[in-house]
Amino acid sequence: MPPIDERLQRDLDRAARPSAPDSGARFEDVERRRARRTLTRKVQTAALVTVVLVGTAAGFLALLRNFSGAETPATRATTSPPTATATRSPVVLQEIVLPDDPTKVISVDGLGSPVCRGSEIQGNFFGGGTTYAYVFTEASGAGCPPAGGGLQVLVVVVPDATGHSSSLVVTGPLDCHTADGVCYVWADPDIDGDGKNEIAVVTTQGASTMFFQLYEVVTTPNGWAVSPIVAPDGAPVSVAEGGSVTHQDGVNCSGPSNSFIEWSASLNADQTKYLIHSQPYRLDGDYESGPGVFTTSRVLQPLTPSDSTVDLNTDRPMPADDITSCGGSIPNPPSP
Amino acid sequence: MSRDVAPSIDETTIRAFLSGPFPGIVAAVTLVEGSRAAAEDSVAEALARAWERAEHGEQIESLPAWVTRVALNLSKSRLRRMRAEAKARDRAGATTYPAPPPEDRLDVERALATLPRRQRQATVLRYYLGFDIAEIAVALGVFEGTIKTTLHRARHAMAAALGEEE
Repeated sequence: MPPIDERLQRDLDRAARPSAPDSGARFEDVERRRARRTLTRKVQTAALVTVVLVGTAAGFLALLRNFSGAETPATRATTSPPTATATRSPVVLQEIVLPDDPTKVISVDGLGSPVCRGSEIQGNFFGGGTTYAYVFTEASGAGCPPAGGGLQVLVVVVPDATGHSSSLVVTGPLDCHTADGVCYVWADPDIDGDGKNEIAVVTTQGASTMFFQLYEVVTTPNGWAVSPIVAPDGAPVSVAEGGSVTHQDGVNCSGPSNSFIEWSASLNADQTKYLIHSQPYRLDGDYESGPGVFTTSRVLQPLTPSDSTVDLNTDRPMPADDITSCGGSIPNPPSP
Repeated sequence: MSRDVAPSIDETTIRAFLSGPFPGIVAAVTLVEGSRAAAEDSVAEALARAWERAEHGEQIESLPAWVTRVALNLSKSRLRRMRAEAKARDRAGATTYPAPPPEDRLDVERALATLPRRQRQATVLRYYLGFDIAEIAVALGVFEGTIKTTLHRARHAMAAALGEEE
């Protein structure tokens, strides 16, 4: 074995200092974490099932109304005239009007509880035209909780089962670590170039760096759903953006085949060059459902990374930090 | 995937893991990230996720490899979050906490700390946990060729830093 290999094995063994064996308290800690995750999954499933049931019921009622011979009443929803065939008219979906005061509590048809602190973004999230996505904080009888309090959910307006009116799909709770504890919808990129926008939600925000997660509206056997895009380990991807002079993170879609590139640049010790690590990704996989439970999200699959340097004494540019190169726009830029 | 089969991970498995591979994986993540408390938290969270997923019918073939991979990813996210929070604190003029003095660390720790993250991860998985190239590629979610290149660079850098022949 080469000397360096022997040395690394020996010295890393010495440096590692394994922790003490399990004391019982550690098992309780793992069990508590497991229980919390189980609860979160149940909440998500319940929200999804509620939306599907409400959508199905609304669709059934709409069909009943359309085919029972009764006259179709004018509704506040801006739908196209219903037809009984597969010829689909473009559907105009109902926007949820946000109050000027973010702490004002509003009720939204299709959501189980009143909400507040909404942020909104428009985009072609389901592939059939412009619709709307929101992050809301769930309110209670006591009103709008303080910023960062209460469950926060992502809500997207989609066509209902008839294809002519609006329904909602919901996911959450979101894990929010922004300065005020409130997540918000940030941008609507199309990172896989399929013509459908994803939803970028800012979940963590520091002074100069923020982290966003990506969600997408998907078709499942039970209807529309909104689902996080995940890393290969199954956790929602969290992408860094921003930074300072010494360290910068950015994203763009300038790679081949619309690959999504996350890069990270660190200033070297003598402050003469940036060391840049670029990690391209491809949006892989498909959405699968188990018996009533959606188990798989699309995976942002890492491709071969690359390292490079940018010398501060030359004019070589830094990689682009521009999520709009993936399509879409940034209607809700981070606060300065 | 079937939801009728018994979960592949149960309380006995978790207890055995905690008294078996857990300390070693915590030590490995500590070597990569530099913080034992953060490493213990990440490995415990990864283990809880494995348990919860197994209860929902997901088959996890190698629990140590799965937990290592998820713990490293969680540590990365945590580090990013801490970095963002530190910047937020700096901006607000709050107290910051200095890193432990480097003289308390072994040469190999200091040399390891100078490597890029991916090289650190690959080095620790290879030389401390004894993973082979294929296992490291699975754990880090990249191609085997990338791991070979990464390890080659890491070995070269570590040999130079430690004054060893390759």
